[in-house]
Amino acid sequence: MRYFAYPAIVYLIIFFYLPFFIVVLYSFGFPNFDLKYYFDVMKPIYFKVLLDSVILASITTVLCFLIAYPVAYYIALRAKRWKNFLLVLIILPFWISLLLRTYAIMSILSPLGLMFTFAAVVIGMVYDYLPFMVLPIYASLEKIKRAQIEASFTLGASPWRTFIKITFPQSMPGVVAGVILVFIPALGEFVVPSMLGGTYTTIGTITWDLFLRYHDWWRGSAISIIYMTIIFAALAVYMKKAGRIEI
Amino acid sequence: MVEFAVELEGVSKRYGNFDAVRNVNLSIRKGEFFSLLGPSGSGKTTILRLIAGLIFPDEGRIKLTGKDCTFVPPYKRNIGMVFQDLALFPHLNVFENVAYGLRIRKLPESEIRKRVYECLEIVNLDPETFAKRRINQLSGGQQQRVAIARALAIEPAVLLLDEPLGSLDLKLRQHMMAELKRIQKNVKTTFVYVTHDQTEALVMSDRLAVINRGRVEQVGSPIEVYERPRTRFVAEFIGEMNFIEADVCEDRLISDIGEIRAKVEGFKKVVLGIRPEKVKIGSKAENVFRGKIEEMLYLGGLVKLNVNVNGVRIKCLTSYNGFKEGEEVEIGWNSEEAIILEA
Repeated sequence: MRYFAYPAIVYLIIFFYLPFFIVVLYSFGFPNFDLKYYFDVMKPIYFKVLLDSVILASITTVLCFLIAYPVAYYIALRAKRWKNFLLVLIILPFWISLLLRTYAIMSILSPLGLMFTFAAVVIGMVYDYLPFMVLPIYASLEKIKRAQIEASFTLGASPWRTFIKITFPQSMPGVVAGVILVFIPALGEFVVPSMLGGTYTTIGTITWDLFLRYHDWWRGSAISIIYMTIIFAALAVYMKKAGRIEI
Repeated sequence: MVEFAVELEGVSKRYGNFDAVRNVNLSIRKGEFFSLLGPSGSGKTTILRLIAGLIFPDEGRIKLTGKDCTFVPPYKRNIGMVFQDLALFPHLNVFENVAYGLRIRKLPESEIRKRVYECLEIVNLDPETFAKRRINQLSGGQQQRVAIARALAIEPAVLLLDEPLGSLDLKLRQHMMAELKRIQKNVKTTFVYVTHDQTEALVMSDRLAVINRGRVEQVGSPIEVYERPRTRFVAEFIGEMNFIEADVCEDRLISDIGEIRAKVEGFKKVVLGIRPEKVKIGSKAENVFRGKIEEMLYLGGLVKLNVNVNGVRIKCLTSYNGFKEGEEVEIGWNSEEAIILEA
């Protein structure tokens, strides 16, 4: 049976591990060996960009959570026979490419005079990543048996307390998954910020510029490795904390 | 004066065109073990949910310990409920499950602990061993006990049980039946128990109501309901029964199997019901008929006979006495053992 895993492994090696290895090589000055590219990108501006990206990704994640939770709750626990229809509506945007959807957003935002603002970037990001928050939260809420909520009522808990003590804790795995699914891609996103934000710089746009505008593969690789290490470390801490949530 | 824990007055509940509960009147006494017995879809669970306040009636009134609670939400009624699939909280351990209702009531920690331990002991779970266990580490029977302890912890005026034994295997079910009865005697709380299993209802109940198509067919003690069923449905649903259709003719009944002596007033046509175990083999009875043993099922000690009397098949349950299939026998019963039902 393990042979079934081979195509995936081969695919990952060719399209992920190998390119990643090449990026590592370039960051050390391929075809030579030199650490200067790392020193070159150790500038405050690059960390400012990282901070800006974290802020943007955090705002996106929080807004996605605030909007997605009630939607997921409604679909999972209240929608009954409309459930599948509403789920399709959530998934529907995936059928259109991100690029086209971002163009569509542009045509809505520009008459409102919102183009090339921070708000435009946030609106676009939330719109693009919302389903990634809705679906895992929906999946975890959907598993909660209606009888558990009724049991809580009979034990004297009001609907609000029942939500706080029974429903929400059991949806935490979905929330954790949703946060990861939104935060990480949002952090590296460059299409939305560059199209809707104009000169708004994120770690996505800055690496894009280094690689494809300035053809500086060495510095581009070095900054990618640094960003990746920082994000990976932060994520490891978060996952460890989230993993401790009892479920 | 008898005090009632639960009173339903003319309660009805409709779902669309479907009358789930129709004009139900019930008075459940304080401290009794009361069962709602009926086939699936008869409305017994709906009645229980109405008492719990999980749904509200379209018509009628519901009183709990004398107070009108018809439209009071469940979290403001003092009721406990054990759900069919138990509905334990999987993210909380055994202690926290049982403590849940007490924490909502904001009792001091020491009192919560005391009460949780008490309740675990009532349901025969050793608190030291089980308090910290997770729900998925428990067997089916243990989960059952936790669900009962959780509902009892809040000292409810009424404990509602919705087919709690349905998911257990036969042996465990028999054991839990005895346990439930013991617990009920111990805590003296009013139990309202929903089941489609006549054995459960007969064994545990002080009184029971037989529910059919949203209506109460009969209320009484297990003995009354079994020995003196008031409708054909009750007679058929609980235990086995031979039914013989007959015309009333003065002090006798004329039926396919012959003349039957019985006292009937006010009807022209009746159905006579006789339990298989009341049918006697041999001629020592008021009504005696000749028949042929068509089929015999030896149950070990007892034997089940199908006796053909004039084309009517009469089931008999008796102790084995050398019967053979094809043998001619005399069967009979005394008239007071027969039940006369409206045709």
